[in-house]
Amino acid sequence: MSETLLAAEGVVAGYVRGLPIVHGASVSVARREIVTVIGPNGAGKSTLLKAIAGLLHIESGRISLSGREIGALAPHQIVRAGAGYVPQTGNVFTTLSIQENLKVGGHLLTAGDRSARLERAYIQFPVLAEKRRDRARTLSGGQRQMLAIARALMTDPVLLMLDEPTAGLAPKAVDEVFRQLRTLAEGGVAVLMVEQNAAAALRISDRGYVLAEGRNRFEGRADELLGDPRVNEAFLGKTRKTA
Amino acid sequence: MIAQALFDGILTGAIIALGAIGVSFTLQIMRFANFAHSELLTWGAYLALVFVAFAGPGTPTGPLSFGWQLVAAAGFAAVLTGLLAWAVDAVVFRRLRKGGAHPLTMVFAAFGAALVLRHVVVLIWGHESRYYTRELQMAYEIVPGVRVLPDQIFILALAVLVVIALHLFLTYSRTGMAMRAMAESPPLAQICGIEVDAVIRTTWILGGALAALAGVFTGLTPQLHPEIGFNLLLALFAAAILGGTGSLPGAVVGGLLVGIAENVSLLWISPGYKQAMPFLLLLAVLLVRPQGIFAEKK
Repeated sequence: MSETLLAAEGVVAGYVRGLPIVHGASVSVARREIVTVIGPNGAGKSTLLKAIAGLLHIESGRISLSGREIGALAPHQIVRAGAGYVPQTGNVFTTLSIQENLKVGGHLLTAGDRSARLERAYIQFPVLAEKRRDRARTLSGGQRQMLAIARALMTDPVLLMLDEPTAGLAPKAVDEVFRQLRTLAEGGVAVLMVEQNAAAALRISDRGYVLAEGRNRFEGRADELLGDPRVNEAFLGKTRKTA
Repeated sequence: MIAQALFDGILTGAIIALGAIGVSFTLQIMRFANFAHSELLTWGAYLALVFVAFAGPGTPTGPLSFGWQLVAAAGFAAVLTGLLAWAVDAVVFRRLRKGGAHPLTMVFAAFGAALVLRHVVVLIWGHESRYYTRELQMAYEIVPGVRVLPDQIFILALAVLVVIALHLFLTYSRTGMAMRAMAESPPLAQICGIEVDAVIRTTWILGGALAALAGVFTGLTPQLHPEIGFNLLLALFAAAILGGTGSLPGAVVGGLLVGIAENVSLLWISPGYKQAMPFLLLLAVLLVRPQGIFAEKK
């Protein structure tokens, strides 16, 4: 295993102080790795991502990114530290144009860097270039997801976190999202995602975690999890139907 | 008659719009109804009076009743009122916000802040009416039946310029875009690297500065008293909600509609009912578009 980029250990977090949803979960992601967190609804998967992104207060545990403690930082400082986050819902500004969404994504950049990365995003996601002047609300679900990913990539994060990136997408769009994530990982970005579409997500992942009731249940190489009868029965079979 | 009422309405509306912009952005970005906003109009008007007391209103320039000094006074008041708005936030609202206060708690805190701000004005400057200038002005008949004062034209032109400048700022600047992003979704703005506190600070300073201009313009037509802001409070909120919160064109159109409704209604009803007109309009619009005229459905 190459060097650890993100290390979250014993994270306890939730929306209300004293009522945690994540009860001491741990995940780690190395460079160039795609890691998927699966588990039943209410397992705390999304909550864990929000806590890492700095949107929720962490009651205990440690989170480090590139060797730096980020557990107590504000969300904008965590972006600066190199983490990009794509939430499940409301992940684009529907009242802003596609171009404005990307510019806001590059809020921390200098004007010169921002234009350069904007051009790069349009090359990487040609569908966004065609619609750059349109409001984001006019995009289809798959296009929105592309915009959300492109926006998170504006700051060149070392770690990209995605909350259910394929939820509600047509099969073709699901393939496109997964293909983009694979390309990103090969380009050196570490990916940490939460997915209901568990089997498909694990197939493009290097490793996976199974979370239940806010705690780690299983973890291992993605192919091992896919082949593990306990994981299959308890989580993959069920989640595949609901996804 | 109706043309005169329309012109008067547009003038009042432009002033209301400047105040409503701040109300609208506070509602959208900080998610609470700041009933102290109207007191910023009063403070702006009186801070300009302080400047005028030292520099004088200036010799009348052309047909106007004042000189460049009053324009400078308005700028001075805008800067100080912006800082005052920020200071009120630091003393009152920020602490509540960080403690996760309920929006209703924020509203009552705003009422408290409003009372304090208004009575400090009375303490310092007293109850009696004040004037920036005692110059008398001739009204010009610009089209048959519409008589306007040169000062009114000046106010209208300046209000239009300010709104255009603000529009350009919100559309093209990095900070303006961050404000619009925050207005739509604070969590998403944060994960784009936007610092919430910085956007909130800018919102207060801008809102305060625009309120000060609205206050100075109100004081110029024709006098100042400690209730000039408070008397506009309901109109400001009606305008902000009518247009749809968080939208600059919304606040401007909302302001104009409220101003015109108040003034045109005077043709048929007694002045005592004038202040109810914006609310009738508000009810009618919200029945059809509950999100306001310009805001998009959530």
